[in-house]
Amino acid sequence: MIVVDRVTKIFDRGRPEEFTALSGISLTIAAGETVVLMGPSGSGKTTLLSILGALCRPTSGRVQVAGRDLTRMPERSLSLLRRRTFGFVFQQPHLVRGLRVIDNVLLPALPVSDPEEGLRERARSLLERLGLGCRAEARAESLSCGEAQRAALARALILDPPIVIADEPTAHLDTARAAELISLLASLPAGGKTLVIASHDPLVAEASFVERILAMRDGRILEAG
Amino acid sequence: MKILSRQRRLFGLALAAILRRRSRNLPLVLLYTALVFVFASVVFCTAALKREARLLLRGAPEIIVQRLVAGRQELIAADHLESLRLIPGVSHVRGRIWGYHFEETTGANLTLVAADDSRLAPGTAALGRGVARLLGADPGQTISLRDPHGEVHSIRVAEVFSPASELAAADLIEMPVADLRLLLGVPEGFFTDITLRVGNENERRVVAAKVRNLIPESRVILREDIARTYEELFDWRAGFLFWVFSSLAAAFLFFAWSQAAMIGGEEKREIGLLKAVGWELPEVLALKTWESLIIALACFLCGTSLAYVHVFSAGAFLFVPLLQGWAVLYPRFALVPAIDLPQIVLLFAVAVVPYLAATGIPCWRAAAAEPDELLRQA
Amino acid sequence: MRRRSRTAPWILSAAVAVIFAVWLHAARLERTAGRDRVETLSLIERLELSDLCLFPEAPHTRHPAVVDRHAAFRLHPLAFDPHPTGMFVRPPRPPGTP
Repeated sequence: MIVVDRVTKIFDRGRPEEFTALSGISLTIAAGETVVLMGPSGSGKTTLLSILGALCRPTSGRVQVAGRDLTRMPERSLSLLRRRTFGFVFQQPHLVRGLRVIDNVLLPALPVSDPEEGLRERARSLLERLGLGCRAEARAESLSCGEAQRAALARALILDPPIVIADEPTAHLDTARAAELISLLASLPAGGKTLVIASHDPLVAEASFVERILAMRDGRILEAG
Repeated sequence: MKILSRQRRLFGLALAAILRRRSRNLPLVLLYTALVFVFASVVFCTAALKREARLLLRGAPEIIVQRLVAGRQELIAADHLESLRLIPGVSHVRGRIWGYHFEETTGANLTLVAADDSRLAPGTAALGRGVARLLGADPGQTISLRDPHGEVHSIRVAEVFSPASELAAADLIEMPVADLRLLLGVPEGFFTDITLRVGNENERRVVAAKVRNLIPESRVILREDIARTYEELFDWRAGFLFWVFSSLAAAFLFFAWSQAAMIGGEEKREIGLLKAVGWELPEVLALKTWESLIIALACFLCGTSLAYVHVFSAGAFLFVPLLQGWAVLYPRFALVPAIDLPQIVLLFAVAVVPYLAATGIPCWRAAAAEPDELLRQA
Repeated sequence: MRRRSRTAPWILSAAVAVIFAVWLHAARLERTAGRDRVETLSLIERLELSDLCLFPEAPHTRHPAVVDRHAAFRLHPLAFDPHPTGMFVRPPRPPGTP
C-alpha cells in the first residue's frame, strides 16, 4: 500500500526559475490496485511518479510504501527499495545502447545475482511473452520504438516487483502498438501487482483493468473517478 | 566466488561502455598511452644505464690519486708511487697515463690511454670501435696523430676493440707507454694520476685519508664516489626529464578530469537509469571505476610495452639524441633491460592512480545526484 | 553479457602474452649482455678505466668522475655544464665528500 501525505515538490528552490511541480498532494493506493493519473503535460504526473518510485525526494510531506517512510530512508535503503519493490517504465525506453536486448532486461539484476542462474530464463520468457523472443540477442539500438518500450517493460518486471510504475508508456506508440502494450499491462494486476500509470492517452483511461483515474492539473489532484 | 562473478559482469558492462564511446575515448587513450610511453622510456633508460654503470664500475680502480695545482689537475710525480705502496692495505699501485686528443680533421675528442708494457709494439695502437668508425681505420691501416710540438706521428692500427666494449671504450686509443708520453707530452717520471687497489672494502676510507696526509696537494677519488656520481648523474637527468614530463602529466590529468566532469548526456542518463533500476551508489561507482581502470591498464600496458620496445629493441632512438646531446663520436651500445618490481610499481603509481582519481571524483559527484535529476538533465 | 565475458579473457590473455614476450626478450638480452659485460669488465680492469663513454664530446663530459672541478662552468656561470650535454648533466660532486 502506498500512502502519499501532503507532498510538495519545488524545483530550483530559491532561484528565479523556482517551479512548484506538486503542491500538497495526498493520495492512498491500495495493494493490487490499478491507478491511472491523467492530466496535461506539466500537471505534475511525472514528478509524482518519480516521488512514488523513490527516484527523488519530495520537498515536504511524506510518502509511505508498505508502512515505511520513503522520505526518511537513507540512500542505500532507497536503492534496495527501487530494486526490490518498484519496476519503473519511463516515458523514454532508456535502453543502454551497445548492449543486447536480453542484457538490458537483466540490467537491474546485474549487480545482485548471477544472470546465468534462472534469471536469464525468466528474462527470455518475459521477452517471449512481450513478443520479443526473437529479438533477445539483438542490439538495443536496433529495436523500433514499440519494441524498445516493451523491452523496457520486461526490464521493469525482471525482478518481479510488487509495484509497477509506468510513465506515459504509450506516448511514442501508434494505436495498434499502444493497444498491445495496454493489454500487456492489463495482465499484470492478475499477478497481484499494484499498477500506477501516468498517461494522457484515452486508450489507457478507457482500458477495462483500470480501477481508478485521478485527474491532475497544476500539481494538484482535481478529482477521483 | 560471488564477488568475482559480480565484478566480472561489471567488467563486461564497463568494456561494452568503453567500446560504445570509442570516438570519445580514442584521443584520451592515445594521449594517455603516449604519456606512459615517454615516462616509461625515461625510467627504463635511466635504470638500464644506472645498472650498466654499477656493474662496469666494479672493474674500476678503488682509489684514484690526482695532484691539484691552483685547483687544476696536474701531472703527478712518480716518486709518490713508492710511498703510496707502503700504506697498509694497498695491494697494488700503478701510475696512469691518459689524456685527451683533439682530432682536428673530424673535430672529435678522443681519449688516449697507456697499454701494458708488452701488449703493443711501438708505433702501433688498439682503437675503440667509435674511433675506428670515425677515422675509417681497420687493423693494418695507419692513422696520424699530432703531438704538442706539431709533429705528426703515423701509427699502425694493431687491433680494434670488440663492439661489446663500446660503452666503456668507444673513443679510446690504447698505445704503448713511450709513444703515449711523446704524444701527450708527459715527461718521464710523471703520470696523469695514480691508481691504488685496496682489497678490503673497510680500509678504503682509511687509506684515502692516509693518502691525503701523505700528499697534501692531492685529490683522492674513491670508486664509491664515482659510482655515486653516476647514480646521481642519471637520477638528475631523469629528474630533469620528469620535471618536463610532470607538466605534461598535469595537463593530461586536467584534460581527463574535465572530460569526466563534462559527462555527456548519454552517460548521465545511463547513471540515472542504473540508479533508477535499483543500483546502489557503490555499484555505479564500481562500474565507472572499472571503465577508468580498463582504460588506465590498457594504456599502461601499451605505453610500457612500447617503451620497452623503443628502449631495448629500437635503441631508444627518440631519446638518444636528446640525452646524448650533440657529439662527433657517438658511442653505440644496446641497453640491457634492468626492470624490477619497484620500477613497475612506481610506473603504475604515477600512471594509473592519478588517472583513477582524476576521473573517479567527477563521476562520484555526478552519481551522487538523484536518479530523477540525472534522467531529467539528460 | 555472455558475449562480453568472452571478450574479457581474450583481452586478458593478450595482456599476459605481451608481458610474457617482454619477459622472454629481456631474459635473452640479459644472457648475451652477461657475456659482453665480462669482456668489457676485463678491458676496464686492464686499462684501469674509471668512466663510461657516454658523452665523449668534451674532456669535461667524457670523464665526469675525475674531471676538473671548474670545467662545468666553462660556458656560463649558470649553465649546469657546457653545451651540448650541459642541459642534462650536472657537474660531479667534489669527489671524496659523502
